[in-house]
Amino acid sequence: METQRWTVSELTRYLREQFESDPRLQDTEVEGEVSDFRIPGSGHAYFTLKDADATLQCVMWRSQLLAHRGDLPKHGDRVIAEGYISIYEPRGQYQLYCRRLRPAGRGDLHAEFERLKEKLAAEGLFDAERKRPVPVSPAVIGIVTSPSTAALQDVLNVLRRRRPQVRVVLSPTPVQGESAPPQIIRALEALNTQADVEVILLVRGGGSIEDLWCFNDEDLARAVAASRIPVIAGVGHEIDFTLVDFAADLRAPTPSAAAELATPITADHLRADVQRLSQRLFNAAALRTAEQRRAYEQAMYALRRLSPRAAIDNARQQVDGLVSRATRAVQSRFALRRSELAGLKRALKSMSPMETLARGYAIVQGPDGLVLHDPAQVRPGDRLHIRLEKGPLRATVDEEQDGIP
Amino acid sequence: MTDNSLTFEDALAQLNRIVERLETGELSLDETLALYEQGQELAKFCEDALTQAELRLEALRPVPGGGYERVPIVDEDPDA
Repeated sequence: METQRWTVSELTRYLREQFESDPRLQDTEVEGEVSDFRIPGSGHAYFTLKDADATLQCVMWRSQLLAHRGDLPKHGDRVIAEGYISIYEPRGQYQLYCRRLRPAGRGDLHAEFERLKEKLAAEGLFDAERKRPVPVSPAVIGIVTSPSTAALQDVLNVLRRRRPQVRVVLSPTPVQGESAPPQIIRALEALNTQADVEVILLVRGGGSIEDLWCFNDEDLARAVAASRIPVIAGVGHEIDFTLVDFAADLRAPTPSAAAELATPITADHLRADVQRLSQRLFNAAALRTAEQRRAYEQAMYALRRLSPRAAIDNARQQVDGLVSRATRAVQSRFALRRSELAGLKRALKSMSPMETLARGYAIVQGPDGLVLHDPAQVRPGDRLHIRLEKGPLRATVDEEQDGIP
Repeated sequence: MTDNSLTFEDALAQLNRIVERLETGELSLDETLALYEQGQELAKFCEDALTQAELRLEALRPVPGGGYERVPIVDEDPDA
């Protein structure tokens, strides 16, 4: 790589641009001990911040100094300087351009926070075993916050979107200032008198660390831990941690997130659940009725098999068979007889005397109607009846003749 | 059965029990039909409850002499 050659100005400007394009150096806070604080005739303040191992040159313009409230720092004071880092080109010197100065007294606040946190932690107030599970599908949700805040609207919007069927009970309280903690405690206690409230959202929108400070109140932290109803804390932003966050059963990074944690099951989930259950209900009922129909059909089948009807039908059929066989037998016997009879009739007919008469013979009957075989059967004067082929003939016996054929 | 005091959660739990009973079987036809009808009523109750989309908002107010009462808040819904 070719060696870069700079003029001093170019290099210095380049370096200044490097500083000024780094966001971490443009919006920054530096804590340190003030030394050599001076305000020359220009009205701008110049000073040095240092700690054990390093020093940092600082400048604060007159306009910012005029906006400064409180005492100006003295040599040896610990301060937090807010501002940006850049380079003063004429002297090739990087420095902090200070916009705001405040005593590092907040360091004491922080120390107090750490002390309380350790104390309460040692008492077990923050122990995981103490945390109560928050309900997954609460019907009534309590909210502790200030009524006129964006945080409340955020929470309500989330609830409206996820679970509009919930009932929300607001326990109003200021959430800022020194007098806030006892009022927040009372608001919590008020909700704890409501039997149907299943979970409490203790929320507050973002603000400065001082704004959120009331949520580091020891008594409030204890009240949160003592709440009969589980508490979800959503105070400030993601990065803000307060004692209330540690004492709560669940910590949410923001008020909206607290509302989401209070409604892990949304109305859409529930609708899907109900639809699934309806489908299962229908399937199970259909299956049961199909089983019962099958059982019924099996029983009917068994019943039919056991029924005497089949035997009766069977017997009836046998009887029918026998009857028709008998009928057939009788009928054929009759037919036989009929043909015998016809034969006899024919034989009889061939033996009829009429046949004989046709051949010229005659039949003679006496007065008593008897056929005459012997003249002795009649006496003279007896009337005879002679049957010829074509008709009868009457005659009278003349005389007796013996032995004359 | 689906009286006013029935909550959505109770109805859903009851529906769940009915479905499980139906699924485990060993029921007469009468029982099956009765459970099915009951289950349908509960499912309808649940669906109706879910169509209700108006968030109910109340504020606690101390009552003179102790205790608290709930006062409905008419909330200006930005979407409404």
